[in-house]
Amino acid sequence: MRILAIDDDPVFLELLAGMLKMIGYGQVTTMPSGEEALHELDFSGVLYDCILSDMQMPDMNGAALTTAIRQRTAYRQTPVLMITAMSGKNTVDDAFAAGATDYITKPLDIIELRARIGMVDRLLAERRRLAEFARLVGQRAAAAEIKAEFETPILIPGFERGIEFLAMENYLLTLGVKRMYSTSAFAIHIKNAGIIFNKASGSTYVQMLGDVGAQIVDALKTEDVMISYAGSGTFVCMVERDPGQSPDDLEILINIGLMDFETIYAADRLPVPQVRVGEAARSAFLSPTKPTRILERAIQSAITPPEKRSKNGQMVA
Amino acid sequence: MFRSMAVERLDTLSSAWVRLDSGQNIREALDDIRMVAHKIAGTAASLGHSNLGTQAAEVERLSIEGAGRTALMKALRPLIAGLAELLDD
Repeated sequence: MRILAIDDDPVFLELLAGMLKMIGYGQVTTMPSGEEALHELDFSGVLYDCILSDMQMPDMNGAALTTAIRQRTAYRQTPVLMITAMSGKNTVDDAFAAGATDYITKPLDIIELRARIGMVDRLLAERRRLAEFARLVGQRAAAAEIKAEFETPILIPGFERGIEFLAMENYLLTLGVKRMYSTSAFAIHIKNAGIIFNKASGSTYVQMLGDVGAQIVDALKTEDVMISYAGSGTFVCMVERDPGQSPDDLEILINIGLMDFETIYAADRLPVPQVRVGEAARSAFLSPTKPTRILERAIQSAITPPEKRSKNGQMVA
Repeated sequence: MFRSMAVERLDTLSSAWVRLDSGQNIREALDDIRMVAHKIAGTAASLGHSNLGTQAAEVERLSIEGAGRTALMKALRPLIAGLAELLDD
C-alpha cells in the first residue's frame, strides 16, 4: 500500500514512517505541509492508496487539505485518515464533513495504528477485487456484481454531499457523551428500491440513488447535515440540532421533487422512487449503548411503516 | 531526531516563557507555545518520554482553552525542565 503522510513535525513523520514499516507498510512518502502534499499528488505520477494527515497544521489544516484532495478525481474515494491530538478531537468534525474516512489519535499507539490501517487495507482489497472482476468479465458482469450487493453501502458517484457510511460511523465514535446526546439521526428509505433494483441495470439503479440523494439535499435546505447511503435503498442523515422539519413534511417534499423525474423513469419502464422518512433516533440518557446504535434505530424506523412503529414513534438507542 | 529537535524546541519555549513573563508579544508567545507543545505531545510518549508527553499535552490544552498566563507558566515550568534534563543526559 502506497501511503502519503503529512505533518509539519519531522519527528512525528519519522516516527509514523517507522511504525508503519514495523507493521508491514514500508512504502511511505512524507510531506511537511498540505500544499506540498497536493503538489506531490498532482505531479509525482504516483497514485497513493491511502493518505494520513495531521489535523492541526499551520497554513492549511487537515480539513482544508481533505477538501482539496476530494476535488481531485483520482482521489475521490481514497481513504484519508486524520491524525489528531486527544485535545483536538472536536476539530475532526470538519474533516469528516470534508470527506475524511477515519482518524487516529496522537500519541501514536501501535495497536490502534495497526487496526486503523488494517481496516483501510481490507477496504482497498475489496475495491481491487471488484475492479479486477470488472476487468476480467466486462461491464455487463460488473453490473451484475452491483446487483448482487443491494445491501452494500456505496459512495454514490456525483452525489457530492454524500459521505461514506463507514466515515459516518467513525464520526459518531469520535463524539463525547455530551455531544452524543445532542446528535440525532434519521433515515430515508426508498420504499420501492427493491423493485427498481431488480428491474434496472446496475448503473441505472445507482443513478436513481443519485436522484434521491439530490432531492434529499434540496428538501433539507440546510448545510448542517451529514448524509450517507447505508445500502438497501436507505439514506441516513445526522444532525446536531433538531432537524427543524417533521418527517411527514420532509417525506412530502422529497416525493414531490421525485415526481419531476416521472417521464425519465417511465422511458426506462421503471417506477418513480418513493421514499419514507423515519423518526429521529437519539441516544437515551443513562442508557449507554454503542454510539452507532442510533444509526441502526434510525434505519429501522424508516424501514418500518408508521402504523407498525412503537406508540410514540421516537426511536431511542 | 527527537533529541536534536529538542534543542530547538527548548529554545522556542524558553524564549516564549520570557515573553510571557515580561508581558511582551504575548500573542506570538502563545502561538509558539501551542505549536511546540502540540508537537512534543504527539511524539514524546511514543519515544519513551511519557512524562514529557503528558506535560506537553497539558500545556497544549491550557493554551487552546485560553487559560491565564499564571496557569500556563506554571504548566510550562516542568515541561521546560524536562526538556533540559533530556538534553543533559
